[in-house]
Amino acid sequence: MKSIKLVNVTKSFGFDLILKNFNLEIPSGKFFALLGPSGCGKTTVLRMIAGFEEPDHGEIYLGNTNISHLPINQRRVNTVFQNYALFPHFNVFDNVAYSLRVKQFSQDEIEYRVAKMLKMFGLEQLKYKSVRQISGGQQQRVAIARAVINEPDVLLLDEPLAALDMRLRERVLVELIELQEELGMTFIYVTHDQTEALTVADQMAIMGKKGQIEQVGTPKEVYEFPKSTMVARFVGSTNILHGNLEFEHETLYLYLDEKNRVLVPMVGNWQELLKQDRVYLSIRPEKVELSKSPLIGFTNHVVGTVSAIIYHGRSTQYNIALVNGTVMQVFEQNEEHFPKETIDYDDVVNVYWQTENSVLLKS
Amino acid sequence: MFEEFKKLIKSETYFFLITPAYMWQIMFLVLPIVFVVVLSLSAGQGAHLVQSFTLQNFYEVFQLSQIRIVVRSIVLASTTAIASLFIAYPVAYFLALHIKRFKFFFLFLLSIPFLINVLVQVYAWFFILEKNGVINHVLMMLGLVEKPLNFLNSYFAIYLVMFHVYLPFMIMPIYSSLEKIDTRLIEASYDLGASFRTTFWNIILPLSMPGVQAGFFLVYVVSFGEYVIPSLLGGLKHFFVGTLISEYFFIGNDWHLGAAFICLSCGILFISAILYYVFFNKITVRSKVIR
Repeated sequence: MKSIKLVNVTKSFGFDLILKNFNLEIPSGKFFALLGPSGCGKTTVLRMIAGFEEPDHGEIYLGNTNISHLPINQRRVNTVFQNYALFPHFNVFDNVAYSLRVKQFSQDEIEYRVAKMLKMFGLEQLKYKSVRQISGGQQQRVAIARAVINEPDVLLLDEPLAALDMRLRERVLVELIELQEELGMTFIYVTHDQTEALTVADQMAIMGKKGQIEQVGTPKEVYEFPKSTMVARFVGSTNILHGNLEFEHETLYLYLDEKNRVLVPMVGNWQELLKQDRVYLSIRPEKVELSKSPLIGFTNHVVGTVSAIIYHGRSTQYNIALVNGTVMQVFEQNEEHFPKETIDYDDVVNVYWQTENSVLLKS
Repeated sequence: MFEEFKKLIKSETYFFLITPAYMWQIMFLVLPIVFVVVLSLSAGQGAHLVQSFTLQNFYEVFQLSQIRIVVRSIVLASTTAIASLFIAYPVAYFLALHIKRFKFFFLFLLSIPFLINVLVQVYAWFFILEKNGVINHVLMMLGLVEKPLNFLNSYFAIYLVMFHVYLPFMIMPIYSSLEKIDTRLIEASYDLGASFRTTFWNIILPLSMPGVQAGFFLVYVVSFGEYVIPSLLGGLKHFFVGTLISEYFFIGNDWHLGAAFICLSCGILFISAILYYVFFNKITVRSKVIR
């Protein structure tokens, strides 16, 4: 159980600069998710921690040891590969036992520890089955068992659920969380799927397209208080309003156009943003209230026309075209079979939200 | 999809479509084999049958001098196959797993021998090995030898050219099976703490074994019956199975004895191939044991 620290890491493949002065600290014993769009370099980060790639510049620390150029087989780090990379000519037992055999443990020790691992993952019945004969979910358990039997300081998971169907994915996510709590290892989970990351992570980092870190924090911090429009858009869905910021009568306003303005929370570095031409405001669709009749108690109010209605089952998504052309998404819980007011296409509706539920963004 | 396929098998269309293939197989594989077996069990002049059934041909063929030629061919085939395996594996390994750029160019170079007739390759060797050839020329110039050495008409020439001609046949199957190995398996092995030796012996070798076997048997079987190289480079002194069979048929005009010799050498080839197969299987099984 050790932390991972990347200091000023630069990595390029040929002429492609993947990471430039990349810094990241991953706390020990936590479930850490590295989230980013495909091609942002998150897999490269993982491969450098595992040792499959060496950084061009900069250092990688495991605990206090510099492991930047340590050979792969000497790192106390193990990987669960995206396609599992199970040895096809070995059976389940031999796959799980591989790292123990490599380390020349005694036969009894191997039998004992593999049996314990197989029991933990519910694979006892498949002990002598070829890995080609078992299902995708079972293969995945074998891959995880094979990686954790070695008791590494850090377990790396490279999009481990990509090959599973959705229902199985939800179950495995919960199992992974339980496994991490049980083993207490540092888990680093790389994914481009924000729901997976939000579900499993204690801490998460969001990477941008150019390989830079956009934000680090708990899933709640990242979701509720994104630091940029990129993060707000990438994690969950959101509405971004833009305009210029004005400070009038001790109140902060965002002018969408000449006439329409909304209230903005006065937190953080808003004073600096006053100088900026264009600022952004993020409001999550579920934090918005929709009504044909006027409601009281809300600090913000805009009017728009319904341009699309998408039924999701537990909620319905309404797209509202505002006067200035911006389209806002709104999620309404489908709480009742027979709602009091039905909203239809082209209806003129009132859109309400509380000022403190919106986030002011610089970019 | 599968149901449709089943229906197709039952249908007449399938029958008519498959018939030419069967006809080809019967005409050019089954019939000749039957023909050879019948010839070997009868006696007469050329292809004519005089005596209908006799084992006399086999008595004659089962002589030490004849067996010695078969054994000589097996030694030649084994040496060629084993030597080319040991050279081909590293070449295929680097090509498949280490060379990233200009791969196509190297593959093209490898395929050039396939584009050139064996006869042409052998004649090219003539110019290299002969008394006034390139090697002798260089040796003389350097003053290493007083008079030109005789490379032709020797076992050395036969082995050298056999090795050269059949090497690509070994590289290609090994390359293709190494190429298919998912590099993440190799990474996973290192990741789990294995050294290069363990990774090679336990992961790479067993997974490339199909290619090794394919290449080995390809070279082994073909070089066992090789006719062109021994007869052109070995002179008349060095008989091998291929040269002896042609001797029986075209010079001795004794088809029956020739056919018996074919049966004998085929039998021995078959047995030796099975022994090699068992040996390879042992290697595959042992290479799964991690040490």
